[in-house]
Amino acid sequence: MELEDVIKRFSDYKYVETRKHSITSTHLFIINGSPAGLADSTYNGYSVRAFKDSGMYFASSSRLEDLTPLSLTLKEWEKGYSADQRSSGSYTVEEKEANVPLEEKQKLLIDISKNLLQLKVNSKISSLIIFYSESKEEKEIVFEDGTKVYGKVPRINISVSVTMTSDRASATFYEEFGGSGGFELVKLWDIEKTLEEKIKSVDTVLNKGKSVTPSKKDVILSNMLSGIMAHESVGHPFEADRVLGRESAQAGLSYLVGKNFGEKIGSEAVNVADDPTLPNSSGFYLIDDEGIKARTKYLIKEGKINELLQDRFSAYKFGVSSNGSARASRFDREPLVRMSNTFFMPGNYNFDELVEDVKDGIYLKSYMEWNIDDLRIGQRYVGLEAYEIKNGEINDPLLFPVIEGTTFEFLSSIDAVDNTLKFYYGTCGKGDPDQGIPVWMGGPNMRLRNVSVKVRGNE
Amino acid sequence: MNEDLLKIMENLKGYEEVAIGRNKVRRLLIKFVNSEIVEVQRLFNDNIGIVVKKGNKYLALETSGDVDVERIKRLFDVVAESSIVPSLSDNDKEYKRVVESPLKDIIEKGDVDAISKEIYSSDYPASGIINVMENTQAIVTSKGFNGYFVNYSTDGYVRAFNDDQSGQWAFYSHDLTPLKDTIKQANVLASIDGKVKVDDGKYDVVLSPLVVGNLMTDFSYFASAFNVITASSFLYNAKPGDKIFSEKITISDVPKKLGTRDFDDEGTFTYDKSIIENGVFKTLLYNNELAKMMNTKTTGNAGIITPVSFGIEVSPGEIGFDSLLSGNVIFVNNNWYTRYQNYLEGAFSTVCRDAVIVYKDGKPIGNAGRIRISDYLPRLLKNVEEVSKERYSIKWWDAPLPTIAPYILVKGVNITRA
Repeated sequence: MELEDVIKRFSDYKYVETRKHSITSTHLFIINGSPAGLADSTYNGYSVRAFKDSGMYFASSSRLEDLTPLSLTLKEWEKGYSADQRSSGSYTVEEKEANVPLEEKQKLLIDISKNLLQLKVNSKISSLIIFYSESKEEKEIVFEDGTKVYGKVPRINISVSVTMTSDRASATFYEEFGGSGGFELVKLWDIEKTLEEKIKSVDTVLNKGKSVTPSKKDVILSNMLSGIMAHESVGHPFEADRVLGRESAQAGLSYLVGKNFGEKIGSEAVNVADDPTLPNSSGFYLIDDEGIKARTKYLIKEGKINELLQDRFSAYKFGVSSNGSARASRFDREPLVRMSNTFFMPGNYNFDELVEDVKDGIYLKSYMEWNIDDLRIGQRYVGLEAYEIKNGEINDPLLFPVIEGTTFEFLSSIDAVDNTLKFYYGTCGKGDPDQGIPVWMGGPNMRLRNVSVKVRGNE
Repeated sequence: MNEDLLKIMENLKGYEEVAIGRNKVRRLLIKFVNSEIVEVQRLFNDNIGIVVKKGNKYLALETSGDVDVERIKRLFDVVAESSIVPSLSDNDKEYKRVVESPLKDIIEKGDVDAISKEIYSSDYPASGIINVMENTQAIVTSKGFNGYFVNYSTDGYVRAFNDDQSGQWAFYSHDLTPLKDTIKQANVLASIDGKVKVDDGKYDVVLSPLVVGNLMTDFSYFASAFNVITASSFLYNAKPGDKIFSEKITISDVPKKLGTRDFDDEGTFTYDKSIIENGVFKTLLYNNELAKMMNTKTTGNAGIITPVSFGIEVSPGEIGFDSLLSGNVIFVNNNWYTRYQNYLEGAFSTVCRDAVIVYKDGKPIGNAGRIRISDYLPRLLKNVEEVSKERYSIKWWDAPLPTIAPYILVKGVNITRA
C-alpha cells in the first residue's frame, strides 16, 4: 500500500495531504565526565490530513492500513483553504562528516566534560550534564493533486546543563548548540571554549556580583537575549493561526488581535524576519508540509507590522496567500504554522558604540529564566551573566538583575542595534498534542532606553 | 501473553538483562475553538522499548516500527561503560489486567457526537481539547516478569471567553461525566468581571487545582532521585523525617488510585506512597539503580535511569473553598509558562491567566490580569496556610501529569507584574 492509495480512500474530501515521516536519532549522555548511557529511537509512520466543509480530520499510525476516513458532520471552525500553487520537489541537507564513529564522538564529549570540571574557579561545579543528540528526519508528502514533496534533514543538538554553587549564591544554566548537517558542526561550535568562558563569568557573578538598584535604566541585550525576544515576543504572536484563536486554549492569543498591517509596534530600528532557507540552520526547509515553497518572511519592518506566518488554512481566513510556514514535528502530528529561524535584523552600529552612549545601564549577556503571558505582552528576563554599565564602560558583574516589561515598551525603546548577527538553537513548543520542533533564534546586540530593572524577588 | 515481545527476547540472548516493553496508545482527540470543532484526530501509536545490559554497559532503544536486532547488537558494541546502569527487578510473576470501559467504543467508532454536543452548549465561546485514550502497557523481562495492562482515560480542558475575560477548567477521568461540569466551571470563571491593578509585593494567594496541578508536575520532577543526584533539585539535602513544608501539605505518588500504571519499566509493581506527609519528607521517587546508589529500595517509579511519577495526589484539608476566599486574597484560576531560574533552589516564576480575582474582605473586586508569581517552590509549600476539602482530578496541556488537587491558600506569595 502506498500514500496514493490513502488519497483514494479520501476521494470525497477537497483537500488531502498524506505524509510518510521518520525521525531516527541517537543520544549520548555524559554526567560529570562519565558516560551515562546510549539511547536510540526511531519514530516512523504515516499520517493523513483531509478537509471538507463538514470537518477537518487527521489520522496517524505506523501502519498505512489504519488511515481510514471517518464520517463527520460538525460545526466546523475551518472555513476553507488558500488555493496557492504547490511545488513538487525535494530538499536535502548534506552531512560533510557523516562517518565519524560514535566512540570518537563520545570521547570528545567526555574530554570536554572532564576539562570543564577541572577549571580553576572559586565556585563548585556541582553538576555538568551533556546531552548529545544526532537525528535524521525524512519526509515524503503526497497531495490530492499529485504534488510530491521530499525532504531529508540531518541535525545535531548538544545541550549542556551546569549547576554551580558558591558561598553566596548558586546558579543552574543551560547552553545549547544545534544545526542541520553532520558532525562538522560540532567542530564549528567550539563547545569547550564557549562553556569555559561561560563558567568563568558565572563564577565571577556568583562570587563578586553586586545587587542592582531597581530603577529605569538603559539595557543592552546581547545577541542571545535578542534571539529569545525575536522568537517569543515577535515570532509566536505573528503566527496567523494564533491570531485567529486556533491556539487560544493552549498558548493563548496574540497582541496582534485587533491591530492592522502597517501599524507601528516598535521603533524604526526594529526589523524582524523568519527565514527557513538559512543553510545549516535548525529550522531549515525549502518546501513546507503543505507543498508551498519556503521564503523569507519579514514580520516587522522599521517597527511596523508587515507580515504574519501563514499556512493555507490561516491564509484563507486572512484573504492572503500562504507564505509556506506549515510544519509537522513527527508522523503523528498535524502541520501547524511554525517559526523556522527567527531574528532581529542587524543594523549599522558596532558594539562599542552601543555601550559608549550609556551613562547608567546594564548589559545582559545571558539569562536563566524567561517567560511571557499568553497574549505575548508581559515578559520577564532574569539575567545570568550581567554587568553594570557606567559612563560608557562595562564594569562590575551584577547578581541576577531582572527586567520585566511589555513587548510594546521593549520594542519601542530599542534605539540602536549593532552589525552582528548570531543564532542560537531552540526547541519551539506549540500545539496539543505538543510539537517540539528545532529552530534557530537570533539577532544583533540591541540597546534599549529607559527600561524597568528589578531585583529578583525578595532574595 | 506478549508472545511478540517474548519472540524478540529470544533473539537477544547473550545479555545479562533484557527488558522489552510496549506502549500502545489509541487516541481520539477533539480540538475546538469558539465552540466550533477545529479538527478530529485519531492517533494510533505502538512503540516498542528495549533495554539490554551487560556488565556496566547498557543500551536503551525505542522504535515505532520493526525491531532491528542487528542494529541493537551493532550499537551495543560501541557503548561505553556507564556510571549509571539500569537494573531489572527480581520479579518473575505474570500479571494481566484489562479494564473494561465504555470509552473503548467511543475510540473504536470515532464517535464524537456526545462530546461535540456538550461543546456546542457552552454559554460563552469555548476553546480546548478533549482526549479519549486507550493505553496498553506491556513488558517482559529476562528476570521472568510478563506484564500486560490496558486502561482507559479521558482528559480535557475548556477555556471560555467573555470578551477580554476568560475562565479555564480541566478534568482527568475514566469516563466523560466531568465534561459538563468542566464547561460550566470555565463559564462561571469567565463571568467574573471588573478590573483591578495589583502592584509588585507579597500577597495571600489561593491557587486553584489547575495551578496546583501545574506546580505538582514540576514537584514530581524535583522528587525524582535522578534530579537529586545531578544537583537539579531543591530536595538535594532532604532526609526522611525532615519537616520541610507546611504541615497542611501531604503529597503522594498515586499510580493505583489514578489507575495510570500497575507496573513500572523495570518490572516492579507500582504502589501509592507519600512523598511528603504533613510537611515531612518521606521519600524520593526511585528506580532500582538509583535506590541502590542511595541505599534504599525502589518505589516502583522506573523510568529507565530517570524515575518518574505516574500521578500525584495532594491530600484534602478540612475547610471549604469558599472559606479560603473569606479574607484579602488573590484567587488564581490558572497559570502557564512556569520557568525555573534555579533548580537547586526551586526559584521560578509563572504567569497567571484567566480568572485572577482579587478578593477584599471576602468579596471579589476585580480581575488582576496577567500578574506573575515570582517565588520559590519550597518556600511556597512552606507557606501553605490552608487546603480545601474540595478536590478535582485534573490534567491539561500545561499540567500534563494527572493530579488530584485541592485549592490551597498560600501566605505571602511574591507577585510581580510587567
